[in-house]
Formats: sequence, structure tokens, C-alpha cells
Amino acid sequence: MPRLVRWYLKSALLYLLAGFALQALLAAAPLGGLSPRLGALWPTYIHLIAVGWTTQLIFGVAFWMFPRFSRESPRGSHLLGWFTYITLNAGLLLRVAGEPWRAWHPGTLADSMLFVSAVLQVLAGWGFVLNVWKRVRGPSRPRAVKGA
Amino acid sequence: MPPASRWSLRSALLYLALGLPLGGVLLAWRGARSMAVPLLPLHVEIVLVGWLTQLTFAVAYWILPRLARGTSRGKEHAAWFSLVALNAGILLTVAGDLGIGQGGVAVGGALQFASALAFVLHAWPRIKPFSSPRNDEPPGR
Repeated sequence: MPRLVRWYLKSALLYLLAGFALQALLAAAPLGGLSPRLGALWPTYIHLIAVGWTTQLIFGVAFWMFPRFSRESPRGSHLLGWFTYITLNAGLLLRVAGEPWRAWHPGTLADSMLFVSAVLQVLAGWGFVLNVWKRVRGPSRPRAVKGA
Repeated sequence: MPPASRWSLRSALLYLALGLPLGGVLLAWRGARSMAVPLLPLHVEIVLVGWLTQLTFAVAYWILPRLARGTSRGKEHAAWFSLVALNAGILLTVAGDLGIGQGGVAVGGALQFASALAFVLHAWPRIKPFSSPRNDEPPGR
């Protein structure tokens, strides 16, 4: 399994743990007398699971197992793969920090964090689409790299 | 990778490319939830159904164990129906959310249910132990 795929999958597992830990905290909040303002973390929990766990796992497995791009470069661009990994995770971590911050201390800094988070996650998605699009194909022989 | 999976996967990738900017607007702009265009239901429909569910259907059709000693993916017409109904359902739901077409959300929901039913009918018999070495091939064809 390539190193990038290992990073994707292990990160996804960590988000799974973090997401369910947060869910447990949110569920226990009314019982334990915790602040009702913790409810601001509900969208964060949804995105830890939907983006950090599910989508990241899909990105990793697709990069690993989709049909080869070419003999010379079977998984397409590793550089774009790493770009996708870094922007996805930086964007999600900024959201995890910025979303509760904006709920509790609204201001320019929190707004800026969430704006950057949104841009990073969109770039990650588009990078992934760009990288795997040509690997969604039938059983024909892998295409040769131009000039090879 | 069979044609139905290719169509489905490429549709899923397009929904991902479209759904993320909608979520980005919701995240970055506090006024987005009170806009006349209901971005949140659109974002949820496109990402949850168009991206995640459709990708799951596509990959399952591709890699679940095959039938008839590894030569058949079973009820192919059900898989195609599922693909068409899912995408028609998503588009009708999106149109309904945008206020285009009366009852679009209801018809879209019914089509998505029909899609799920067809997918289950197709996938159910393929969830089985590997019965022969030919069935144990990695995906790729």
C-alpha cells in the first residue's frame, strides 16, 4: 500500500475516533450538566464523520485501487494526491477549530478561518476529481504516457 | 470496471465537485442559510446521495463477488435502473428545492427509494462467500 494511501486511511481512522468521541460528548452533555453551547459542535461532528472519515477513506481507497492510469504512473499524479490530502485535512482541522470558535466568540478571525477552511476543502475535492477522473475506465489496457 | 460503474462513478465525482462549493458557501458565509435559495438541503442532497451513496452503489456493482462462476454481475438491468432512477431522483429533488416544478421533491424521493430498492435487489445475491478461484480476483475488469 503506497505511503499516501496509508496516510489517508490512518487519518480517516483517527477522524472516526474523534467523530464518535465528539458524538458521545454531545450525547452526554445534557446528562452531565455540560454547557448547552456544545450544541454548536453538531455540524463539526457531522463533518468529522462525512468528510474526515467517509470521504477521506474513499479518497485513499480510490487512489489505491482504481484502475491504473498508465504503466509508468499507475496512480496518476502523486503530487496532486498529496495536495488533496493536505488541503482536505488542513481545511477540516481549520473547521474543527473555527466553527466552535465562531459560535462562542464571533469575529473576523473565526470568519477568516472558516473561509480558508472552505476554500481548502473545495480545492481538495476538485484535486481528487481531477486526479481520478481518467482512472474511471473500462478494462482496456492502461494508456501509455505521451512521449514514452 | 463495467460501464454502469463508470457512469455512476463519474456522476458521483461531478456531484462531489458541485456539492463541496455549496458547503463552502454555507461554511464561509453566515448569511447563506437565510438565503432565498435553500443551500443546506441542496448541499446535503448532492453530497450525501449524489456523491457518497452513488459512489457506494458504483463500487459495489464493480467489486462484489460475481455470480455464475464469476462470469456475471447478476441483474444488470436492476443496476442500470438504480443508476438512472437515482440521478433522476436527485435532479428532481434539486429542482424541487430550487422551486422549479411542483412536487419535485416528493417524486424525487420516490425515485430515490425505487433506486435503493433496485440496488438491493441487484446486490443481495452477490453478497456471498467466494465460491471459486475465479470469483476471488481483485477488481479491475
